[in-house]
Amino acid sequence: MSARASKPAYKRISGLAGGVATHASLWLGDGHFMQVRASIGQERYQRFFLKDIQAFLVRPSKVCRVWLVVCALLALPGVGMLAWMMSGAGDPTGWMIYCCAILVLAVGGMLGARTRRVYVVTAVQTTQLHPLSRPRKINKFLARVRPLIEEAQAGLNTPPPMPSPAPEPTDPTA
Amino acid sequence: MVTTAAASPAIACPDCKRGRVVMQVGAGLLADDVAGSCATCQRVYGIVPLPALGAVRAKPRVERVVSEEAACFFHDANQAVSVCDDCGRFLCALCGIDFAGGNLCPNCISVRKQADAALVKERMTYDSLALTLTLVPLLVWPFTFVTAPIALGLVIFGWRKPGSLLRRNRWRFVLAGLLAALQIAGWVVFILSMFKTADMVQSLQ
Repeated sequence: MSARASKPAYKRISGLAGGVATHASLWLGDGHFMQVRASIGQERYQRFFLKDIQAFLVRPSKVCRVWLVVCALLALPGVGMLAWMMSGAGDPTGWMIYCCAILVLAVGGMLGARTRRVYVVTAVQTTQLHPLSRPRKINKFLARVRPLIEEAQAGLNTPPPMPSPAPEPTDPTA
Repeated sequence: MVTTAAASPAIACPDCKRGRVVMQVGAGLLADDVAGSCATCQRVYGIVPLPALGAVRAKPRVERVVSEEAACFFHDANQAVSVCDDCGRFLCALCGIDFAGGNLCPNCISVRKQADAALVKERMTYDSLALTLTLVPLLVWPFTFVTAPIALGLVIFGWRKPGSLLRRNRWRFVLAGLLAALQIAGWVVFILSMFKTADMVQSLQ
């Protein structure tokens, strides 16, 4: 049997995320999903078997906020120079183009930058899922994968653990 | 908000690596998760709990060898309770691992991980490498004198090698091979024309 014929079948469940030279994506295979981190000339695979997954952790990321602060810092001198030029000191066209470019960068960052980090938890490791960076992507991924995980873990007969309600506070003076 | 460390299993904090994320009462960051926070770094998380989180794993029970009983290949003192499906070695309860639909010893799992496409950890993608080597140097075209033969070599070398687990066609190989061949042909024509021009100049002199 050739190497091509023995390839396992995978379906993409989350799009690409990353830079020009490297990117990550999520793929669904038989009984597991796989995170693929690809660079030029190499692909690295991390498999997470559905029956082993204990939880997903989601936390806010500051990347988007940092990007906006950087854009604001870059825009400040541009806005200052633009105001000075418009008061009659010279031709403001160059500074208008500069400010528009910064605005485009800021909007692009807001639309595309990471706002969430997602980790998959198993008994032996907790790993970040790089392609899941926005709430919409995360919800779409969970809607696809969660039923499969629950089906794979049906034999465990244990409902997902939920936090119990807070105990009543007791009065120490009583 | 009161934490319930005793009531719910805790998860290691992926950021500080020291603390434990403990579930709390209340909504998390997504629509259907619960909130949690690390007891050490106080970072807040949304948690999507799954049945395996609460499941208790059965610990393998190892029994000591008594008199003439078969012993584990890896642990002399442990009684053998199973046989490896691949190599046939006797295994104790610790060494026999349910893996890929069989009972295997750690050595055979390691061997399978290297050989089985379904378990491979990384692959060289010669097609992407060759295509990059034919396209990127076009920005500074004299580099193609060196990169085109390398790219063609990669196409020939990588054609029979196991490639990406995700791609099922070879259009990158074909395109890289064509581009590399075109670039090499271009250089051959360029060098021949240079010789021809030099000959003409010499004949005129």
